Amino acid sequence: MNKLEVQEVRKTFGRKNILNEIKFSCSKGEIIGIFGRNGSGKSTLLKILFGTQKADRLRFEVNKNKFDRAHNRWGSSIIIKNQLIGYVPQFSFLPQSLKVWDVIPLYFPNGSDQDKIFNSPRLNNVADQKIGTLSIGERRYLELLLVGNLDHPFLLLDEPFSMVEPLYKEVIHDFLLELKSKKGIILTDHYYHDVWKIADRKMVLKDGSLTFVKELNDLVSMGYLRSV
Amino acid sequence: MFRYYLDVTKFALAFSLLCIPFFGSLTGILVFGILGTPIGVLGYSQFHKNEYYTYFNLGFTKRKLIVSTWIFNLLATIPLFLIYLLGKALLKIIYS
Repeated sequence: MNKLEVQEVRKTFGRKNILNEIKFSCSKGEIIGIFGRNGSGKSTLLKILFGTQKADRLRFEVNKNKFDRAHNRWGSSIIIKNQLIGYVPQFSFLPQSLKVWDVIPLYFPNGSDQDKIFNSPRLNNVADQKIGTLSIGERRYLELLLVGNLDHPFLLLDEPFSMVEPLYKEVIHDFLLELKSKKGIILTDHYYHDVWKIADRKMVLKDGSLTFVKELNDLVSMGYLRSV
Repeated sequence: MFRYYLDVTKFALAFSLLCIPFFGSLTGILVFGILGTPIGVLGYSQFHKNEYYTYFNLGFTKRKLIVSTWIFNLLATIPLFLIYLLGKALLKIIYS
């Protein structure tokens, strides 16, 4: 069973303690939703786990492979090299000048894998368009399809629903729910209804610590929402 | 990976071509092989920085991308240098 276990993450920016007591685990078949106000460190946490941001202290395991501060520099490379974790950042990262049908072979050289992506719902309509001309929803969905269908056992998603139109949100919901049978997913977004709907476990990141929440009202008591 | 190579090399090539009128073809070729890749990486980081995440997700680290591109461009200077010598020899024959 694939398991990602975060034992310790600490990160400060200047005097501000962004991440302090971070401990949680994520297994295959699970979607974990992280809520937090702007600047609370959600994106920083995801980047640290993926390996593109350094932590002051870091201890975590991916399928019993240990990563700690001593291996920060090289450890992050191992995460990327061995494709242990996939990451969809909040910004667009696909080559803007390429057309959709040129990007798919970049990710999937194999013909049958390409067909699988091409045959995904709603993708056929945009296959001949340049990435730069896609709507936010179309682009976000394509990014999720590409990274989500790679072989990483875990997937980190930073704001997958932001600015996405309702029709695409539904497609993304369905895709993520289907995907969780193959991987563990950690996602964060301010569109809390969408995260709440699909996440199996939910946490709030506040003052550098993660707290599990069970009811929507807990988001109010944790100071993330004013009211439900 | 080849896409990254092309994107970086277009900056490297542009910089080398700019050098030719000032310092000559031979310097242009050397600049392409030695300095071109770092210049190309700077250009890529300026205009395509976010696209690194495409390669990270595919299992390519930044180090691997840069080193491979650099080695390839260094090797590319050998045929370019030979073409330069050949061109020079041909010109010598034509004008003698």
